[in-house]
Amino acid sequence: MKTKHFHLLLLLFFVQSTFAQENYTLSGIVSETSSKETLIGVNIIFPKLVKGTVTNGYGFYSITLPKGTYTVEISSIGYKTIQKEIELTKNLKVNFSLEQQSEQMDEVVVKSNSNRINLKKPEMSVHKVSVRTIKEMPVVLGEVDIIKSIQLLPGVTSAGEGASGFNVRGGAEDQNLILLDEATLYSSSHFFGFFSIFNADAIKNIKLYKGGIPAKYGGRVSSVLDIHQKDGNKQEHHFTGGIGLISSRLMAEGPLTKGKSSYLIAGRTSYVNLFLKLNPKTKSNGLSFYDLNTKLNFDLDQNNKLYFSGYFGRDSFNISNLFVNSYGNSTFNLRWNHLFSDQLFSNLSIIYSEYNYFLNLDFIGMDWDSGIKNIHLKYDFKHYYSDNFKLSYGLSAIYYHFNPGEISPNKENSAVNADKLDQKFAIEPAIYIEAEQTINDKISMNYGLRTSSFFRMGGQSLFSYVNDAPVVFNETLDIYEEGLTNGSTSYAKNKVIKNFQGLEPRFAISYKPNENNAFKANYNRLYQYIHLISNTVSAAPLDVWAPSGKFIKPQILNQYAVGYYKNLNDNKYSFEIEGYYKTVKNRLDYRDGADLIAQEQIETVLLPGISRAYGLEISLKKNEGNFKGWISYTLSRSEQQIKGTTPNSTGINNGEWYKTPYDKTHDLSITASYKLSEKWRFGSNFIYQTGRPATYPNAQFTTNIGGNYNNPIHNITVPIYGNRNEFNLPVYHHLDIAATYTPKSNKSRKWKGEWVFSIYNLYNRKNAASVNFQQNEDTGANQAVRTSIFGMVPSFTYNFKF
Amino acid sequence: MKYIYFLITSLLFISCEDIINLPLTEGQKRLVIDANINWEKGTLGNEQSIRLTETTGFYDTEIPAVHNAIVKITDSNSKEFIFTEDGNTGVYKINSFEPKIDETYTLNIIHNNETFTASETLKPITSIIEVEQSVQNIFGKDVVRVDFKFIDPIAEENYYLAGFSSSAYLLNVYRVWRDEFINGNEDTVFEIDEDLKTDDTLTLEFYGISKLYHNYISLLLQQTESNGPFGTPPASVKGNCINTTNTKNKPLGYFRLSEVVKITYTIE
Repeated sequence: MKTKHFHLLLLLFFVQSTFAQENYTLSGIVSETSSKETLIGVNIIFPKLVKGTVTNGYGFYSITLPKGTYTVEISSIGYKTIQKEIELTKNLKVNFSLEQQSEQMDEVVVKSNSNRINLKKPEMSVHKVSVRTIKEMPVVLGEVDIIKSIQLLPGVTSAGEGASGFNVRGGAEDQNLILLDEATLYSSSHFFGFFSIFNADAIKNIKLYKGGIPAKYGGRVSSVLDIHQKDGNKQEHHFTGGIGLISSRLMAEGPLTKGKSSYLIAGRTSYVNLFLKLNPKTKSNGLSFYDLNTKLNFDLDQNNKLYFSGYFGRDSFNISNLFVNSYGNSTFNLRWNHLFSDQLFSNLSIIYSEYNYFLNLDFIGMDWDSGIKNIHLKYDFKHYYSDNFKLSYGLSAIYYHFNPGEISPNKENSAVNADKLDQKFAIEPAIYIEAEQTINDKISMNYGLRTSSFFRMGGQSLFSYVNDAPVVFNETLDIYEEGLTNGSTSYAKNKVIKNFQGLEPRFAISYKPNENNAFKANYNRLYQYIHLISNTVSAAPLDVWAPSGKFIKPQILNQYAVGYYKNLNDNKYSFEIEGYYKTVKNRLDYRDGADLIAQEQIETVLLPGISRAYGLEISLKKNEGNFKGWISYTLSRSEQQIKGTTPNSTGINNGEWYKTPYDKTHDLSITASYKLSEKWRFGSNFIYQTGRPATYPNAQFTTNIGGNYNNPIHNITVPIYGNRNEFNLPVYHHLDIAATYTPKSNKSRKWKGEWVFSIYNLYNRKNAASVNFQQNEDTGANQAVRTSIFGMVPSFTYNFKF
Repeated sequence: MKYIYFLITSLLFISCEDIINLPLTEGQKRLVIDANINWEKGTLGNEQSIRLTETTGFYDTEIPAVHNAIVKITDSNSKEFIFTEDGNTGVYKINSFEPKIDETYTLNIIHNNETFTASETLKPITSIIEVEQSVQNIFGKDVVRVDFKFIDPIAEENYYLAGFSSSAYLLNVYRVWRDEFINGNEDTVFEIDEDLKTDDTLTLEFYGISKLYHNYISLLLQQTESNGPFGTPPASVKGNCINTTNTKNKPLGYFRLSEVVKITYTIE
């Protein structure tokens, strides 16, 4: 067909469809019936044509079809599917309203055809997570946690209990782009990974991209976790909340002008603090975390909407006023949706986000402050040309200010001198264009390109090193040391120290030979210009972000994935198997014993190398019925290689590949939920993973600093370690169960409540979070000591809404 | 800054530790040179010892001594100080050593037809000007704190090592730091321990060390400490001794020379 060849040739140009018939556009917003909350990812399908589209991040959809009469089906998981007859004789604006699927057992469920369409889309390596499902999963201490829940998906893990952050397809914690209403967050948990920063009540939609990342996203190489907050009920005022063992939450939402604008404000706080304050002995100690989510949204007219979102989260520790620690994310953003036409949707975002870390050490007399701030401008367009072709394009610009650390004495007689590490500045602009094209009944493709740049700006001095080597290898002593400086250059504030450019092609294709099977493949290339400087097993709150520049190059990733997808039994079950391979250039590691804290010359501790990860992800899901769930299994490897830079230098681990700290050979998750009756629902998770890689000693030696050889008690015995990460900690597994009890609600009363009881780690397995090798405090003999964090932990939460 | 990690780890009150039986493989045997030349301020510093041992399996309780080695130290004027083995202990002693501040010494050891050498400078230490005892409240408990105060010399880059031993606990506690944030100021090295009670003794050994030794001992102490969630990857600790006969067979251990201040304080 002439038109088909025409489309194929003009890959990146605008395409004007030249059909013989007249085409009209059907567009509008899909929202939830009672609250008018816009719904994301809703399927708008024309079953007879086997064509469809999906609502975007703001609930907007648009599809252009030939003139005619159609049955359109609107469906989304958790909502009742509806069907409507549409007479498309001119451009139409139709808004749809979906009702939430209620808990009533005898309700007739209209099956949706969405699965047939989804098989056709090239989208793969993606998970859309339902907030409702997350709320019913058993979790530690009853705290609903989005980050822990995504770890039940194939390809997503963490370095263990006590590890903040998460790892996607063998990628590091700093390689995940975490977005809350388009604003970047720099950490994803409270209190060392134990608790979530996301208040599930305020969250509308969660999507995780593990690969096949669309061109509209950039800046982090392993994944994108795109989270949207609710807008707020436009019809009525409501309160939603919960009381738990560790924290409680309350959300208020409602209209400012009914049907046109709304507000949402949600707060969550822990109260270990209150117990500490009650006891006069522990009064001067404190431990707390809290989150505040805010949203304002205005429908100015049919074509214009304005949103204001804010998030503020903090962890706070206070030990006898000796040690005060406070850190967290803050973001503010303003967004403007504008419809240039029925076919052209745009969103302009202006975002401010910040992560800062404050520490007060009273016994040393010192205050420490570090952090990262950024201002971000994003302008995204989506052009819904026809039912076969959509074009997304846009631009983004980020301005960064890095504060690697500022030290100030905090009292009169402090021993500490004031010091401020050089502040760093950078600008990261990018533009992108991507097409989503349906070639024919069986084949669809997405293809696009993102061009990103990074300008490391001045406003500081940088050292230069002898032989341009900030890290040198001392062959005599067989160790890496800092290089010698031979001068420094001062850069003015508006001067560019170094710039980088990246071309990031993105490509995905799907082939659907028949109704229930599909083969998909994708490729993406991504650049990451900022890096989390951390040499601990998992990210610590104190870790600082550093920009690329004279000494640090951007991380560059290439990822390939192929997969096979099948619907069984009319989508009662779905089966997926996906394999991936990714390589990253310029991945950083650190020379042995590197002290990263307050490190002005970060280049003297870094050793760059490469990393790669590959794996196979398999999952089987049961999507319908009273008994639902999934089994997911990932077999993978994630490793790094740091070779010596000079002929006789050893690199790390003698220049051989070694496992990253988050490598996990086997990762099995089984999640099940069972609806017994209208009052009782049960959930359970079983997780089984290979233990974290660990370096074990293979010998010991002894030293006596004081030279008191007559007194063996003063001997220090030192473990001698073998190859890095050669072994693994003992296998990690636990079984968790939860029961949700919803008492029969009196329909006339507004108050709805439910109880969630859960037990984490039912059989009380002591899972090793780490194993340390040390001398016994009582006998002096060497021993291996396992630290485990959670044994069996029961808890309950009461959730309410009125 | 290491204090932070100590305090954060102690916050994990919900974690538990237990000893496990973890079988380990054994690596190749290497020579360990433990040469700590300590010149206590106010003494002659003429009696010194150096111990030679071999590495052994991690759980072994006996450390194999190395006998029949030739051990000597030479100063910058080529004056030689010969150490002789005390019986069969593997400890080589001398009672005619002549320590001098900022003097560079070279250690020479011959064992099994291989020669091992190392070179270092004897670093001075500033005096402790005051000892002060106080009480600190930590999570509801009153704990004894003892501060040993000193003044950091402003003119040079200073590196410090402090070792605490006490009648109240078994294993020594060590601190290592440099004058990065405190240059020229009065500072304190302190010990806080809930086991310290009235009439217990607390001894501070305060050493002046070189930058290279500071890097070495920091790394070494990291290997012996509890790692918790912020553990850095374990590393092999490389000292300043080399094998001139066979560079591949590098010995472990460090040749260090320090001036030392030793103070014993009794808790009131």
